[in-house]
Amino acid sequence: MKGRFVRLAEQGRPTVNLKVDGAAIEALQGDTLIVALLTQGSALRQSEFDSGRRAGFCLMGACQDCWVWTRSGERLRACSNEVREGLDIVTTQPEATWPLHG
Amino acid sequence: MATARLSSNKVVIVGAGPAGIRCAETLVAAGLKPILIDENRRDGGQIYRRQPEGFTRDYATLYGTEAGKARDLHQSFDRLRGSIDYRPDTLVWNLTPGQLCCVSQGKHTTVDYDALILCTGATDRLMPIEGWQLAGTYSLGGAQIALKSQAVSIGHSVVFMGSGPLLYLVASQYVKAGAKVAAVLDTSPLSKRILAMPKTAGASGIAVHRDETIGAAVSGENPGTPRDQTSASAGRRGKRCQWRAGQHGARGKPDDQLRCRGPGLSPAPGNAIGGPGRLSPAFR
Repeated sequence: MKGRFVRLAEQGRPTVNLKVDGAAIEALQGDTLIVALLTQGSALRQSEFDSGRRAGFCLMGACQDCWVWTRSGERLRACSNEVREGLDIVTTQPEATWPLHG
Repeated sequence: MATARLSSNKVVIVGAGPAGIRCAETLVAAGLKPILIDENRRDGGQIYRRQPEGFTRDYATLYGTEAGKARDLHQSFDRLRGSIDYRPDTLVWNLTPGQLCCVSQGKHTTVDYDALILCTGATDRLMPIEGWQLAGTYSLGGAQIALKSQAVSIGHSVVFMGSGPLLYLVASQYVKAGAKVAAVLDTSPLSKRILAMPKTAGASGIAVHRDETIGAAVSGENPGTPRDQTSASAGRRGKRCQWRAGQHGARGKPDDQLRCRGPGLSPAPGNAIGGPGRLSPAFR
């Protein structure tokens, strides 16, 4: 099983096509990015502070755990941005990263 | 007189939840046109959060016993919208005397004000335990938002832990929506639960473990691998108990640790933490 989140209802919406790290994925109109990514995978991005992966936490735009980026470098909170047709998402931080410990 | 003087001034409300909407309603009734700034794309705030356009679940499904209040609030906002300066998708990140610093669609803006009313609401009070930072653990409020706003569960099998009525409310909402709830671990003391009992009845079919002191949460980062387990360890009144989540509805038995693990929790886990809980000494 590849997804972390599980869809329970509202599955009759039109599909939206986007890319995540170069791979095409299909989402549903009205999905937030976190839902689009975590119904198909287990994490959103690499932690900038340790070797762990991150998958969001508060889902209300406060905790800053769910950052992803567009190919052009725009930084988005995956919990509060919706999918758009043709969106090209990158899950690796394009800016400088902290040195990892351990 | 005061109103006449104020009407030429800029009144700014931050937050379009219940407080912000009712505030705007009162100001509009007094002849003012407030600016209503909100970080969300839609009005309603968190408790009465509106699902995205195109979603079809009805008010009773989304809000349960609060359906009437939710509908009333949303209708109030819809009536108001033409009479206020509504600015959704706008984050306020700083305020200085007479000016707010905002960001919207990645761009910085400022908003001047003569009077400022903050209706910014509340967020979860979290109970940090060992492992709470692992991918797959979410705040209780976050777990509810996933369901209410997006019709998803945070995992294939979810353990709710913490205290307070929201713990049971969210767990029962998950069950009603068809999610698999492996357990509810309640850390509140008996006296508090008795007081809350009339409002917390009804979460059926879920293993409920009460009076728990939660030690640690372990959440799988790689669904499908042996590490993919959601577990919580807890001690019960100095003793510990063991429980396997695969046994739906099973109660704990005294043992070294309360562990929630096994096939019932694979492949993709979810934990939702609500607080405040009582932490075991090792984690204080």
